Amino acid sequence: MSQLEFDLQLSRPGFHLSAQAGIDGGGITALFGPSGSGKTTLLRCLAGLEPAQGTITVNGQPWLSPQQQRPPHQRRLGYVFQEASLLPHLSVQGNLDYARKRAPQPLTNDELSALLPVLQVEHLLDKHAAQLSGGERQRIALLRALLTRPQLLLLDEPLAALDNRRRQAILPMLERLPELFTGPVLYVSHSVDEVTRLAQQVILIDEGQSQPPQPLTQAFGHHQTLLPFEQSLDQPLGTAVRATVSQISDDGLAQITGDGFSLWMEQQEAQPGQRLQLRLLARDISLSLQPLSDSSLLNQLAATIEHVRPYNASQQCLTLRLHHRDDSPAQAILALITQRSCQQLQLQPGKRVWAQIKASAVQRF
Amino acid sequence: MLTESDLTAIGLTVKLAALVTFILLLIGLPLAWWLARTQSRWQAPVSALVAMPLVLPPTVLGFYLLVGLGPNSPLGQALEAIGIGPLPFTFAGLVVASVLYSLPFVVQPLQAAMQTLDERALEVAATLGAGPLDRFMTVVLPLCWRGLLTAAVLGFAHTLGEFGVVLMIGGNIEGETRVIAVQIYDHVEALNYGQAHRLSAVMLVFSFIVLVLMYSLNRGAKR
Repeated sequence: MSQLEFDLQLSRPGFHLSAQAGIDGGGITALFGPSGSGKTTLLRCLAGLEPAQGTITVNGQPWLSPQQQRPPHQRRLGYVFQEASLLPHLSVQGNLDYARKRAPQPLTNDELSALLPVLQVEHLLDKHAAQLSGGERQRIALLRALLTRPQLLLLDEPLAALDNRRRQAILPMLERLPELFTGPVLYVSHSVDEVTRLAQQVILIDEGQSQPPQPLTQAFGHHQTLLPFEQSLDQPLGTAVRATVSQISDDGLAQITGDGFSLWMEQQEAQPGQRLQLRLLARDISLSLQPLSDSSLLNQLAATIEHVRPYNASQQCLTLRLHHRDDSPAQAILALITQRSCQQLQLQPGKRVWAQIKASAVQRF
Repeated sequence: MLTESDLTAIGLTVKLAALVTFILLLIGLPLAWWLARTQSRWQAPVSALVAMPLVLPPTVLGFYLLVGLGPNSPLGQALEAIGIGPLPFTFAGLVVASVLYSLPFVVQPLQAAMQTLDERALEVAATLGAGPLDRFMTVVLPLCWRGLLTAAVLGFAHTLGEFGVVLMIGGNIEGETRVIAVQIYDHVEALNYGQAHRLSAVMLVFSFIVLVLMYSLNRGAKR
């Protein structure tokens, strides 16, 4: 049995939510879908803030069943809301104490000293909630949630209200969240980039209907899963890949290696051995039939065209299967190529090609 | 100078107002919380009942209490059977009447403060493990403290100033039911205008100071 299992239904006028999944800890599960798809409602149902039908089981204990419904304060969960949610009549320390006093066992000093440096909040403890910036408030809210010793962590678009600079500052902390919390983490987001960077697996949800959890690279790599969301997402098509930083060169580039590829990118504070999740945008990838020898492009990958489908009036979306050194199939990536190029190069399924991507286009975003 | 019986009346009135305010907060907090949050169809009738003393002549309320709590009424007899009463023309009867009479002055500011309370703060507290009573004590009360202060001051001040209800159900017994307002009335009846002046001035100044303090605190908190 998984650490978290749920099978939920909720009906409202004009909206029906139906969501099922089994989730184990060891990483972040993204709840991903367009606005109004029911992501936040699902999270609130799990927390007990919204009445739902069905079952929720956490570590073998029923939180919701046909016989009983545990109120939120009896579900051991941590919840970080989208906007600032510190209790306004308390100081930062008061907010943290509020959580700590109600935890089944308070965190030990060792546990606390593991959390504080990662979240970088030591200097905020004496301030009042109203004095903090949006990013600082969300870090305190996350720490406060962890202080309750939750069995399940629910994050509802915690970065959505922040500007890009603050978001960039918090993302590395969230990347380290699985080190700090071993239970299941559900992360609601409609940002492809955020999910790519943080999630181990993804639950796609649209119009209240959830799909089973799938690994990130599958959810954000296959032309069939993501394309239906495209119109509502308004974010460029791309492929999520996982990679490890294999070397840093002294001219400011880092080499990353993943399933069937090795790419140079700008260093961007990457450290050797570091694991990265990033997205290769389909529009940044170009194709040639022969490897280019006199080009400035640093990254060329051997691939086989697997699938071609129309994308819009002028472009085709190609699924390219990458290869390992021994020519066995590795992961697939998506490329957007004009109809004209497709015709000139006769790009069809089965054809061997070289995929090129500029080093500067390989970005963590 | 104030006479001995003036001082007795002042002591009695302050004791009455303090006791009534305390009881009103005990009743008013849960009642206001229910009125602020319920979806029940009883919300409107209950609100109307609470607000009745605002529009009824105090003599009407006093008259019904006199009849309703008297030894000939079923309620009065039931109370007497369990050892309470008879209530008319006693201090206890005065407390009961004052609680009813000042109820809207306590419930309405509390209800107004609770209705503007941010629902999110309650949800946050719930996810942090706080149960309903815990949330009420640690989130609702601190966030509604201005409404609470207003309610307590208005309840206290309004009880100080009541007259009609007191006269109907309490009568005019020195040390038992003769409050300041009745004492002033007595002075005027006896043409003791000097005494009436002094006691009235005490009421006037006291009420003014209390209200100034309350409004200043509210102003300060809004900044």
